[in-house]
This record gives sequence, structure tokens and C-alpha cells, in this order.
Amino acid sequence: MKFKRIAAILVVMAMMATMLFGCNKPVDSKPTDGPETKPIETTAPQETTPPETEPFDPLARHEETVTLTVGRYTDKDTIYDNPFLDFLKDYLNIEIKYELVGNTADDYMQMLNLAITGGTIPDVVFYQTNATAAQALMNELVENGYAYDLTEVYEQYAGEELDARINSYANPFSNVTYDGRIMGIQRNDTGAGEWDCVHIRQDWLEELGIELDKDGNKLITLAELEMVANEFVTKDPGNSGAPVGMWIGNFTAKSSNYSQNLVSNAFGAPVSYWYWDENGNVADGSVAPGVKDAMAWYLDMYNKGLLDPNVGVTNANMAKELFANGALGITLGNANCLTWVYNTSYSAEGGADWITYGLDDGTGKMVNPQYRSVGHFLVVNSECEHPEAVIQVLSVFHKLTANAEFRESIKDQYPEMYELASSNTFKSGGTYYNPFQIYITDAEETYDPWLKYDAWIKGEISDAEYEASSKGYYNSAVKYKNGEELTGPEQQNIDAIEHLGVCYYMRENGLSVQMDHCGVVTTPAMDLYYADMKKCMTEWWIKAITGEVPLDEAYETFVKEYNERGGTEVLEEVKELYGNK
Amino acid sequence: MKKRPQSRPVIHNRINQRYYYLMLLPALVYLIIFEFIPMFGLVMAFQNFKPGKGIFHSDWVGLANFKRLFASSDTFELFRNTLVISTGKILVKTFASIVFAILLSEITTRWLKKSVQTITYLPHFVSWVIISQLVYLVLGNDGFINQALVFLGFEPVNFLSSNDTFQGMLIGTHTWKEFGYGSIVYLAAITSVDPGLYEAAALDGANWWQRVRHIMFPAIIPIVVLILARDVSSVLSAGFDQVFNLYNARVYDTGDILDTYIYRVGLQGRQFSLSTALGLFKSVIGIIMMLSVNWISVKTLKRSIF
Repeated sequence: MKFKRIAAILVVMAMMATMLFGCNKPVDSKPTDGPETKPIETTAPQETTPPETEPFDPLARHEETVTLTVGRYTDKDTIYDNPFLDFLKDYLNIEIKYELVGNTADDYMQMLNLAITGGTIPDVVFYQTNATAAQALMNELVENGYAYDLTEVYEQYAGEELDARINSYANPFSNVTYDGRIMGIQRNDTGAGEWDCVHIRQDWLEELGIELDKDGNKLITLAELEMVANEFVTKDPGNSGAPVGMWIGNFTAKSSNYSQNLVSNAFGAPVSYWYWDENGNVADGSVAPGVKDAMAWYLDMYNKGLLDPNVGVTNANMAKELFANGALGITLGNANCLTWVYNTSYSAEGGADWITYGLDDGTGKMVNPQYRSVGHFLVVNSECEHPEAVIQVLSVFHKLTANAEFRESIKDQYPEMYELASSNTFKSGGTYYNPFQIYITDAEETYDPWLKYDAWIKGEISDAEYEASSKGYYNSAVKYKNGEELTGPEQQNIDAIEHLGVCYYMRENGLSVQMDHCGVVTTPAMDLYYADMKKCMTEWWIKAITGEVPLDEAYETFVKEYNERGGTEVLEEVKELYGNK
Repeated sequence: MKKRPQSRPVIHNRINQRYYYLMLLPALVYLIIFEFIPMFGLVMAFQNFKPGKGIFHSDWVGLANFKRLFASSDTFELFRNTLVISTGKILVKTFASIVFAILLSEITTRWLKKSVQTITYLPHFVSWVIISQLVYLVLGNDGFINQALVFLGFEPVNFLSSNDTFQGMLIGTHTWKEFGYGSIVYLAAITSVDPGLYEAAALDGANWWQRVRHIMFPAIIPIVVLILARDVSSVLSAGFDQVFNLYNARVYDTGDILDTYIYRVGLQGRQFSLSTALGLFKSVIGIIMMLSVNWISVKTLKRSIF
């Protein structure tokens, strides 16, 4: 009996011990140390293990299989099983193992934060979020010694194509350089495809006999914009029964779909940017005097019934219904709008035709931001044993997308990879195939769809040449040129090409003014207060432009509250960082 | 026969029941691992927590996060909105659930009673993501109600975008979603009342209301107290899912609550320490509220939830 009792007690203790300790990681399984045990090494390169074959060759095959653990988002079957992964294994002997995968970017960011807390980040981490938050995380990873110093590895292993693309931008490593060392890879963007422009239903303009841009400079004025909105609301060309003049969905974005910022830029207020004003002083664009003028313009539109009466309530999903119902024919946005939200207008009617215009700031030019980090970062874990393999994967991916000769060279041995590499999906970034998700575009490549189209129209390149560059665009362009009826997706292609054409035209003719701003700014006070400052902006913009609070009072209260909530402190820190000119 | 000491039977019982205690063990271990040990993370409320540094290496800042919390110009608005929405929900939902349970208990046709129960329980199991879309269809500016109002010659009402109606809309939709499910416990309490009491009261000439007031109410009061004590412990949680899916920039004044603040500043702004501080504060207030209700219950009704 006594033996049984002792045995029972021992069993219970063993169960408890197993359950308690079984759930913990072994002490030595993965270090969870912070800066004390993992010193920041931003001034000296870390030791790397080069491939065992020819050194410094981006295409050198590893004799032993190198496994890279990766963190990314978009959890689809394709990311685990595709020809590019097979190609990497066979060609470079590099195996990809996804260790941290989120369904969406938001899910993934939460998982990544947890992994950072637990010190269990994979060898390679890609992340993408708004530019400010992304930069703050980059800073944190470097400060805590999690980021590998890629300076030498990049120099040695970046292939010709990758390096050319990265260096097609001015200061391509500006957001990942710490003490002169390259601590990650950032994606830059010319902003060409991302310039916010005015989008208007061209088919409605034609139906109503409205002619815009008579001088042909691709720019329209605020007065013209108002006139078009008025025509659309009063004549309801979409036969919706409840036409909405113009829709705005965002008041705090630097540059984004449906953001109001194009109008405030025209009034000299680059909202969400810290910039150098005409006196060379660092100023906060979110509270610049022009903000009040922009608010006044929107208020006037709202009072005249030319702005969405549900502004602030209507989100992107609701707007899709407005587009689909033919209620909405004007908004502000970048080229992506044409393939995202507006797509409901194409599919519903099959005949929507959107045209792009720049917005005249009153001087015959349009203000826009250029050359910026877009909040996409790739960071290699400081404990990664084969950082060169990371750069090799990046190099070979970009080689496949950019180098037709290289593609041909693998055609016989890797026909499946050849087929994939020749596809538009792969060449435009191959989100599901590219294990690291980051895709570096050439600064000029953004304009490619327009330049190829333009050259083809002018007879400067052959059909075959154009078709080889993009089969989808080519097919749409041929039908468009022949005056054939276009399907929704084909019309989208044409509209997106023309959006780029407008941006290109403005750039080439000096009609776009590059804003002199500080770029993506992060400061300690921003870490603390920015989320609240943005809420304050949205709240007061809505109150001002819907007339809930009289304009003067709304603007003054907004500026006061914004500064109290951290605006003043942040501005001081930005001044310290960037200095007046 | 030798008499055993008083305490022996208790110990003896414990020993006899040892296997039952053993069966409790996994639940106890689960509770310790997943509920109590994580409480250690509350230290983040007193740190400037950085994921890269982790809990053990982040800097200590004392009560700075709490000071910042209460120094924010939003704090008063956040607490006011949270309390108004939460209290409104507790009171209206409890009242509706009790009334519904009483009415349901009066239905004698079995199939009808079951059908009504099932239909009214259903919304409880549907997420706010779905229900919010229904709410937009019904109460939106172009929704069913407003179309009906316009048709009848009235002005449309901005239920979802007006600060005057938003909190009422939240309370109303929450009550609609939960009153059926909330009535289960009250119905159970009513059902447990001896039918003989009703018959005796009827014989004594008591009408329906008198039977409800003098027999039914006293029977369900302990349950009401229990449910209220449970609900007030979460008085500072006004329902993130609901508010997040229904609010918009035009109703920040009345719709921004502590949970949406935690989401915005904590998750979007990566201010984990501030969020933890607010979470800790909410828990402390919740415990105080629960103990207060229990204390009032003990003093007035002589009943305790413990």
C-alpha cells in the first residue's frame, strides 16, 4: 500500500515535471539574449562562410546543401512547391525552409514581433508595412544586433543584374545604412507608378462632351476637377440614381490609393512629410498652412454635394460598390487603383475607361514625392551561417527576371523554370515564387509598359519585340489599336499603361516638382506618438471638410491638438536629425 | 468503539478522492502554464519594452507608461466612451434577456418555444465581421431603414456616422445579438421554480404580474447577481470586435474606446508597454468592480458569488 502511494506520488510529480518543462525550450536551443550578449557590430564585417567552389561568384554552387530558414507572408501552396525552389536546390544547392509564414502582412508582422521577442527569427526575414513602422523595426533589429552586416557579402555576391537595379536609384541603401554599413536590403520606388494622379471616367467625359486638358500638358486644375464632379453629379452618366462626385478614403498617407494628399500637395502642404520649406527650415507638412486651404477646398466640394457625402465612413470595400454601380467617376490615386478598387467598374460594365491627369498646383506643375523607400525590407539574421547564399538567391532571381540570355541558357536543363521565368508573373516580382518576396525594380523599369507601348505605336519596335516584353499588354494594345471592343482586364491594362505615360510625360517635360522632403522619418517621439497623431489628423480632417466644426476653429484646434499629442516633439527631433538648410 | 478525531474524516475523504484530484491536475497545470505564468508578462507595463531586447533586457521605466496613459488628452474621452457603451450594454442586454426569458417561459407550445429559442440564439454564434455588414445594410446611410424613412417622407438618420446615435446603435445591436443567448440562464432559473408555487399563488388570487414579481423574480435574483458581477468585471471592455467593425473616422468622439486605443497604439504603433499598462489597469478595475458587486450582494441579498 505504501509502495503504491509512493509510486502514485512519483507518477504525479513526473507528470507535472513533464508538462511544465516539456513546454519550455531547452536552454541552449536558441539564444534569447539581448544586446548584452549580442553586441551591435555595425562597424566591422562579420565572418562569412563563402561557398566552397569559386569565391565571390553569385552563381557558384554550394557543395554541401545550404538551408535558409525564411520569414514571409502570403501562405499559399505555391510558395512551398514551385519550379524556382527546385531550381535553387539543383542549381545552387540552396534549400528554402519557411519557418515563419503569415497569411496576411498584418498577421505576419505580429508573428515576427513575437519571434523577435523570443530571439527566434529565421535566417532571412522579409517584411512589408507602412514606411514609418517598417523603418522603426529596421532600426530596432539593427540596434539589438539581429541584422547581419551585409556590406562585404553584398559587394562580393550581388550579381550584375541585381546590382544594376539597386543602383538605378539614388542612395539605394539610405534606409538600411548604419554607421556606413549595409544592414539589409530595401526596396525603392521611383514613385512613377505610385504618383497619385487624378482618375476620371473617360467614357463619361465623352458621353457628356467634356473636353479636358486642352493645352495637352496632361494636367488639370482644381477648378476643372470641380466642374467635372458637378457634371457627373447633376447628369449621372452612370445611371446610378445616386451619383457621388468624388471619393476620398485616406487623410494621413504619404502617398497611397484614394489619399487626399494630391490636393494638399497642390496647396503646398505635403501631409505626413517633414520637408524643407522655402526658407530652408524643416517643417511638418501635416500642419502646414496649406492644409487649411486644402480643407477649405474639400469643404466647398462637400457643401456643394460634389464630395462623397459619407466621406470618413466609406471604406475601400464600400467604394467598390460605388464604382460597380456607376455612381463614382472621380478619385485620386496611383496606377494600382486601376487594377484594384476600380476593377469593379470594369467588370460590371465591361466598358469603363479611366483616364489619368496630373493636378496643377497653380503654377502649371504637379508636386509629388520621389525616390523613397516603400517600407519593404529584407534582413538577414546576424547568426545566419550563409549570408552569401541569401544574396545569391536574390541575384539569381533578378538574373532570371532581367537577363534573357541567362534564361535561354537554362532552357534545356530546366524547361519548367524557363517557362516560369519567361512569364509576366515571374518578371513582375513573382510574389509566390520568390522565397524572399522582395523584388527590386529598375528605377526606369516602372515606365517600361509605357515606353514599350509608345515605341510600338510609333513603329520603333516590332510586334515580336513588344510581345516578348509582355504578352498581356501586347494583346490588349493590339485590340485597342484596332479599335476592337476591350474586355475589362484589357481596358485595365490600357488605362494603367496610360497612367504611366502621363507620369513619364510630366517627368520628361519638367512638369512634376520633386518635393524636398526628409524621406521616411523615424524618431523616438514618433515611436511613441505617431499612431495617435495620425488619428488626430483623420479626426480633424473629417470634422473640417464635413463642416461639423467651423473651418477656422477646426484647423486651429487640429494644429493645437496635433502638436500637443507629439507633433512639436517630433518636429524638434526631425530638425536635430536633418537640420535646417 | 474508539471515536475518531473531528478532522480525520476530512483527510480520509481527501485520500479517498485522490483520483478525482488527479483528474483535476491537467486542468490545474494548464491553468498555471497558460493563465498564471503569462502574468509575468505584466512587467512590460513597467518597462520600455522592445521586442528585440525582450522582457529580461528592456529598460525599466517605473510608472511612466501609466503616467503617459493618464496624461493623454484622449484618456477622458476613451474612459467615458468605454463606460457609457459598456454599462449601456450590460444594463439593456440584462433587462432584455430577463424579459425575454419570462415571456419565453409563458409559451407552452413546445415546438414554438424551441423554434423561438433557436432563432434568438443564432446571432450569438455569428461573428461581428458578418453582423457588421448586416448592420450596414440595415442602418447605413443608404440602408433599409433610411430608405424606408425617405419613402415615408422623413429625413434619413446617420446611425453609423453620427456621434448622437452611434453609442445607442452599438448598445442596440449588441442587445439584439446577445439577448437570446443571455436568456438561457434566466430561463433555467425560472424553470427550476416549483410549479406548485404558481398554482398556490393562483389559487390565492395572484394575477400574472404578481406571480412574476413575487415568485419568479426572487428565484432568478441570485443568477442576476452572478451574471452582473461577471459582466461588471469587464466593464472596461466595451467589445472590440463590434466597435472595430462598425466605427469610422466620423464617430471617433463617441466610438473610440480603450480597446481600439490599445489596438491603434499598441499593435499598430508597436507600443507594447503602453498597451500592457492599460490592460493591467483594466484588469485591476475589473477585479475591484466584481468584488464591489459581490460585497453589495452580500450586504443586501445575503448572497455571495464565491
